[in-house]
Amino acid sequence: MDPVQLVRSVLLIEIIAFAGALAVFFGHAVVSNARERRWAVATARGRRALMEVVRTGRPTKADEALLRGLPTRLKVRLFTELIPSISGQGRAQLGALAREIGLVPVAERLARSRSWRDRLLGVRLLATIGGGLDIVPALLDDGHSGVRAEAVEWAGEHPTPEIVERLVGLLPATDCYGRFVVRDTLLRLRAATIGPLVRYLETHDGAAAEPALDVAAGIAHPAFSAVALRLCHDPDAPVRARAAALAGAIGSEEAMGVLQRMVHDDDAGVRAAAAAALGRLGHWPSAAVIAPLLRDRAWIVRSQGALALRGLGSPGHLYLRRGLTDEDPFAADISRQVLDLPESSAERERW
Amino acid sequence: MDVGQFVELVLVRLETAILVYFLLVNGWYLLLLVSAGYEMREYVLLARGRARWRLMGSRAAPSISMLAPAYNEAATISESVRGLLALYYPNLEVVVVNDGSRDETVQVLMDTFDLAPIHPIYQKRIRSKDIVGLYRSRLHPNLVVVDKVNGGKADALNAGLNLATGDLVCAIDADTLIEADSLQRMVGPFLHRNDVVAAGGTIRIANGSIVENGRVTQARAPRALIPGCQVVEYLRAFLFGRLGWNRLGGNLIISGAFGLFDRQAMMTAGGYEHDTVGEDMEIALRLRRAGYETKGPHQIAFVPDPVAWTEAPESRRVLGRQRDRWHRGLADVLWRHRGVMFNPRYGTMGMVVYPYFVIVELMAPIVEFIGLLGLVLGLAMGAINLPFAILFFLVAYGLGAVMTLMTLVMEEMSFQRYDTFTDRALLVLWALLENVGYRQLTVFWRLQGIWKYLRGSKSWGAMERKGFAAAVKK
Repeated sequence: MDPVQLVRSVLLIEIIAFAGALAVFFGHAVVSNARERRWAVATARGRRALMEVVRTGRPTKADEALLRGLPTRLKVRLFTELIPSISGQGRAQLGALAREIGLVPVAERLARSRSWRDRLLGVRLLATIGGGLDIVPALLDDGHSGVRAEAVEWAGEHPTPEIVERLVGLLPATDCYGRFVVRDTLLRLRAATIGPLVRYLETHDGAAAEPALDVAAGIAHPAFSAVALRLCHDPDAPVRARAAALAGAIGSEEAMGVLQRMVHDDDAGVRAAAAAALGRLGHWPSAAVIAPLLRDRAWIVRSQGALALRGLGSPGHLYLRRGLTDEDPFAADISRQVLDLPESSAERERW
Repeated sequence: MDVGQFVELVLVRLETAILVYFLLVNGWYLLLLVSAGYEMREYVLLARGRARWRLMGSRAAPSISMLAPAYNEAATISESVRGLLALYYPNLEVVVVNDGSRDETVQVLMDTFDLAPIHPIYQKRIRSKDIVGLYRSRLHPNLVVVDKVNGGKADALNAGLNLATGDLVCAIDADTLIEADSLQRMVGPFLHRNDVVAAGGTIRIANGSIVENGRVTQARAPRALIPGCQVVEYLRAFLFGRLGWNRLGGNLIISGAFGLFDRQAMMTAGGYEHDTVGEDMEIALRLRRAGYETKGPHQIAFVPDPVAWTEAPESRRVLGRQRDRWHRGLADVLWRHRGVMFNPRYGTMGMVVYPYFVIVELMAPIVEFIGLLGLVLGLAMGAINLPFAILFFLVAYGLGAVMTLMTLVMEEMSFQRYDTFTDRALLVLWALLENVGYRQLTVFWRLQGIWKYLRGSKSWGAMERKGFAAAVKK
């Protein structure tokens, strides 16, 4: 082909692409603005109808007819903007209404779709309006990460013992679920999480126990005491550090002895966590055990040790003042820094 | 063969080489555009309707420290800090670093936020100029102010890094206007993926927009040519340039105006590099490199949501200085990390992303300049067919306009921040006009940047800003 002819053809394609893009650009704007204008009245009426349901528990026949007649997309918008900010009976009533006007079956149909986009929308809707008990648990293993994450959020709203057990089992699968969604859901469930989490920690150690220990430390229930002490002897240092933090968050006479031994651990992170735990528990007899940490070679251990001593009150302060004249300049420095922190109760309240 | 014939042959060969370069670069641009379109569609589906309130009430949300360096910002610092404190995020710490201001910046902060001296226990793991005072607000306990000896933006950020306590740190420019829920959107990649070490978002131009209480409440297309061209340029750079890379090997750049980083990775990497004018790109590249070397997280995720707004230069002189500096920064950073080029150890970053930045981003102005020069010479010598040259010129710049318009379509179908017909029409106009004059000027400034880099210049050049007052709605 003649080069000029070729370039001319390319230019023609560009002009067509430009015109097409221009049409889409302005066309989309016109269509979406027209739709918003058309929906404005129905949206306002629909909102009023839903608020009436929250107030009285039942919609009037006219309101129900209005809601049934709305386009599905608008129904979804109305329900999903209102339900997250409502809890208790009002939420249940809106959920029941969503089922009555046919929104739940729509969401369930979407959740069964072969397209991940539909499944995502379906599960997201089911997490808001309820329903989907037969469909969503299977989506915890969906091929798309977005669908899996939404299914976990749904599970948080439907915490049957089997589902919570399943969620706890998903904790180490951060490659599939990210670091947030499973932990957040379990922390929100709190009481329902304790039993399954204890059982999990009784049978898991090493890296698999790490995320579970983080969640357990967030709940800090005495039921975790035994597993925390067991995992304080784990071969993995990060697990021992997390177990020390959990033991410190719960506290028990047995835990004090274990934590006191852990301040001599080979790993700096574990020593620091053990010192912090003892300081948090205010176990003043541990002051003499923590004091040598002021000379530790790791800054994190020195600082956590010094802060722990400060948390122990007078006995700890005594060691910190001794630290000021320590021949180790690092010990003297960290003691001075911690003693310089605001001291009076008035100051503490302010911070 | 006489001299005339030889020159003619060289010109023809040169034009052929430039044509091949043009095809390769634009082919890659098209790939980026397709990738960006796919990514945008998926992002909108995943992000729209996601219950962000869960994050607001969550104890599992990572803590974030905002690092805001300030130098002679007495006039605007109170508003800026109030804006930061009002961001919607559950576990937020704001660290303002006064980088040896000569005005009343610290005094204004003290008076406005009732600062009291503190003596926090912290480890100075990264070198920075001496700190002369540390304060915490009695009104907002999550506000920490660091007063230090002047050392530049990178030094101020390093001082802030030492004191920050968040799991993630967010580095911003003092004059950036941040969307209230930007952190909730930016933190997404850290929550849902394990391989992310940093995240960036779309920065937009605020010139001409309505600004109320430190927030852009209505986006407007600027009426003036220079900021207008920059609006479409930014949209193109972020919405297809950076978003497209999410699927093709990851980004190398995070804008200095707003970026979110893993604090531990930043500390391990040694913080910001002082000795470069491209410190934002340098840290991004260093973090990715370290991630590959240690087999840790090494991806930089890009979030297409508009998260922050900045004021663009309105004069050619200031814009020229900015582009010159950016290109010097690019050249400097690519030279510092030249070991990455075609190095399989760095995966797609070494084999695809880095070479792209060298061959396309760095070399483009040189090639474009040579092409234009060759075109003029070739026409003068009759070595190049005139109709072909004109058509090719139209194709080359027309393709730029088509790609920019495609970006506008992406913006329209996803965020719709420019919501009046006039603004949309103006954006189209700037997309067309950008190719005539503005683009050639940026080529010149970038060439200037390369020249100055080769001569060892590391000057930042003064940035003059009008401030947002002109656009503020009272």
